[in-house]
Amino acid sequence: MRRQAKATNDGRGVRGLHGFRGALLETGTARFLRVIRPLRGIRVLFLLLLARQGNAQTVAGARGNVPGEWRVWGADLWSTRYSPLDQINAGNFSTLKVAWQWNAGAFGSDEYYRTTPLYANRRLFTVSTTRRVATALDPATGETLWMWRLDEGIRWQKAPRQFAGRGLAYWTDGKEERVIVVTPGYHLASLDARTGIADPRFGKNGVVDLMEGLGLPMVPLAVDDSGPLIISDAAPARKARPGETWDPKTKTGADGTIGIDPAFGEIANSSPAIVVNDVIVVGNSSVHGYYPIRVHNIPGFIRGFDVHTGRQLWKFNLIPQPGEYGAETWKNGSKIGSEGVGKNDAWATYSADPELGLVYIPVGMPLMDEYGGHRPGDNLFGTSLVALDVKTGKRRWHFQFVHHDIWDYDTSMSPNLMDVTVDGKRRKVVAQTTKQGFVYVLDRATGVPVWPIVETPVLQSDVPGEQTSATQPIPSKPAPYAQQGLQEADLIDYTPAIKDSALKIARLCRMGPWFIPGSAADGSSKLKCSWYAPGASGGVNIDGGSAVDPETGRLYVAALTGLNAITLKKDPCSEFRYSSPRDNCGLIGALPPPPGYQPPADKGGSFDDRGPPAQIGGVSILKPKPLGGITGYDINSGEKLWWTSNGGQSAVTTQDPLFAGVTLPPGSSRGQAQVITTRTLVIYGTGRDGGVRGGTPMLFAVDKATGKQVGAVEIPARTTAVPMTFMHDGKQYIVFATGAGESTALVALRLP
Amino acid sequence: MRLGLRVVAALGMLGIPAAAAAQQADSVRPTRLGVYTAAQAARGRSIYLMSCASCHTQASHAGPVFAARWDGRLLWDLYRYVSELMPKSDPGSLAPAEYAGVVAYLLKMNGMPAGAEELSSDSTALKKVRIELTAKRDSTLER
Repeated sequence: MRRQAKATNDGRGVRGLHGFRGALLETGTARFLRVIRPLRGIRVLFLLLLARQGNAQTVAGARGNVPGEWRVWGADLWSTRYSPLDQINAGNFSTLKVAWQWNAGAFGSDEYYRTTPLYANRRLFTVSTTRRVATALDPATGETLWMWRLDEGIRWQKAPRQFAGRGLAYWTDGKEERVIVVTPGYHLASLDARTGIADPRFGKNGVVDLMEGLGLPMVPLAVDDSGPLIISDAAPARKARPGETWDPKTKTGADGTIGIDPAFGEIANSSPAIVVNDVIVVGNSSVHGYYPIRVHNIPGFIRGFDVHTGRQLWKFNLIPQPGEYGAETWKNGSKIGSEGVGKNDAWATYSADPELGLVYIPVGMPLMDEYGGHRPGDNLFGTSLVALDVKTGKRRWHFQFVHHDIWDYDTSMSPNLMDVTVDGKRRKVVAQTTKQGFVYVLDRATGVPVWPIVETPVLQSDVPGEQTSATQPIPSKPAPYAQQGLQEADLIDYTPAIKDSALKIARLCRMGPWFIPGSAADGSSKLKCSWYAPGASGGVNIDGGSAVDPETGRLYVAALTGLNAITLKKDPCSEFRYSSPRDNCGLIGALPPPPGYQPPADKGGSFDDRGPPAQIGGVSILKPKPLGGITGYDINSGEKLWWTSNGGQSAVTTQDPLFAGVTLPPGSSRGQAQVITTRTLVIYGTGRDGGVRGGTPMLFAVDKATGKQVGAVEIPARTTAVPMTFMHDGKQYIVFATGAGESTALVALRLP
Repeated sequence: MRLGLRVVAALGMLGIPAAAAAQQADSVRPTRLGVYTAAQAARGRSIYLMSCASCHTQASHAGPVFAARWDGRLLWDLYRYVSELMPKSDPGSLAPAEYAGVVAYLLKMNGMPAGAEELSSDSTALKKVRIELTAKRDSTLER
């Protein structure tokens, strides 16, 4: 039985807003660009003058960016990652040189450096280190102009996302300029973009405590010197005992920090806010959901704050509370603190259409990643796109991509807003790329699919307590960009013996076309494991994602394709009936071991935990396919245009005699490319795991129409976040983050 | 015949004890004697931070958490586990030397001392090293 998937909207004035005015502005912007194009020599000065004369938003048009700048994490509010610049082009790309390198590692350590800087009004802004230090740089030299950081005490030590974060937000009214930071310990700060000084009119001395205003109790927190959180939620923060004070000798006790009562769980942030029509829109991230101990945690929220004062304007619950729309999709109830209730955090970046007054929130999945037995129901607004009225915070529409997600398919990237012509009709659409390997193209005013997205029956779980959704929405168009599930036709078949061998391995775990539910290793499932493709990291994930060519309606999707197996087990010291294999016994915050508990005889870490490797002698059992890498789509037609690997494909070699005499094709693309577009190019870095194994770090340029490589330049280290580009004093720069630990840096390239 | 052996091996990975674990005890040396170099562990740390840490923080792979899973096992078991099943979404995608670096860093994180020779990614060599964490407080060995 099939039903057409639909977005749900309140119908409140949606069509009235979807209209002529926006179209006029867009046309005006395009015309403006065409007019200035022949005047390239004076273009930058002209733009800067306009930007400084009052309303920068008008200059920027509906996309909220000044051409030649990069004012939003995704270049503009539409998350196009597009720049109209073309000083760097196919003819000179390979001559790019390092203009400067800013060593972020000098200021502290980090994980991998996952930040995309902003360029606005002649300054470059970034964050760095696990403290998320906000910094302004001279775009021409990389000289540090100012730095700002907040000492967050135990709030930082117990922050689930202790890294630099993905970036910042920028706001100006043409007179004043602000840089907006969300810290690891969950504070919101507004800094003067010229000086880095916190705005005294904003919040308390420039800072809003984001843990306040959620309706959750705030308590004094204490330090036990128990270190950072241990994934997922072991060694949590502790509520201070009555009268407890700070002991400077032992460096334990209550240090005066307050935060949400740890009994409710953890809350975090990893992505920047977005500023739309003078409203700062902020969400949150959560703990990892691999093997949590507690069967509840803090849910996701989206809030709007006045950019001038920091006053909270509205709050939207991403887990609808009792009585709210969608609460019925939590069959055991959705009240905060209840069993099974947690997460649905919108941890990725957001997009907005300021003309429609809508902000688009890609929402992550509920607690926990691969088992949903404690939360029967579709679990709105998990793994959805939610369009909120930026003035009121009211839901205009939503579209759920995965019902009752048990695959860790968080919506992990700000959606791309595009104006395209479908069947002869101009359409305002939003294209959401996802971990599950599909692009979902929706009308961005109403949420209605542009091409049918069909509710399709899917495999059902045989894990005790799990109630999988009977159907999942599958787009009829465009075709996916990553491996879907595992079926016999996907297996290597270079010889009958190879095919037979691959099939025998494949059949050890549950197979299927897509959305294969996990299997339990305790004998209650028919098989001990299930195949998983795309896996938890995508498809598309925050490191890669997609870029738009607004002039042609093309979408370039950088994605991972891979295959692994998942299996579920009972953690004896967790409240969950099943989770990813884990034994949390003995950790702070874990349940006491049950009577008769014995540590596992094999001590864990066996292949029983993860199912078999999807390889024979190092050769993947999957046929190499044009998936992952970068896929070019025409969103006017929904068709694929081209595919290219991510910086080349690695040769596949093996000593296994099974492959004797077989010439093996190169493997599928590795890693997630990091893509932007300019007037003439698609430019990409290979990301931290991409490119040819052991190859030289490179930045590539390909032709937008064909995907053919037209340029490549060696860079000091592989890109670790999506690059950005801007024009400064007549020179076009490309800036990107690299490195991990103490070797993080921003690297700027320009023509010699 | 090859097929039969291969499937038996895969079944072993699903929990059936594998004969591969049976090694000649007299040729096996413990990790506390220094089986990687400091430079290799430093490279491994970068790879770990780059490719592993977003899902596995250091805190979740050090101390008792690590010991409970790996103490007493052959280093080959750890290497094979990491290289064939990690990163989760794209297992096997790193180069062998990169996996060896990550394993070296895991040993360093867990108090195992560095030595004069790099850890190899070769299975025969890795099967001759046993993870032994219990004697890590022996200060003479830590140097």
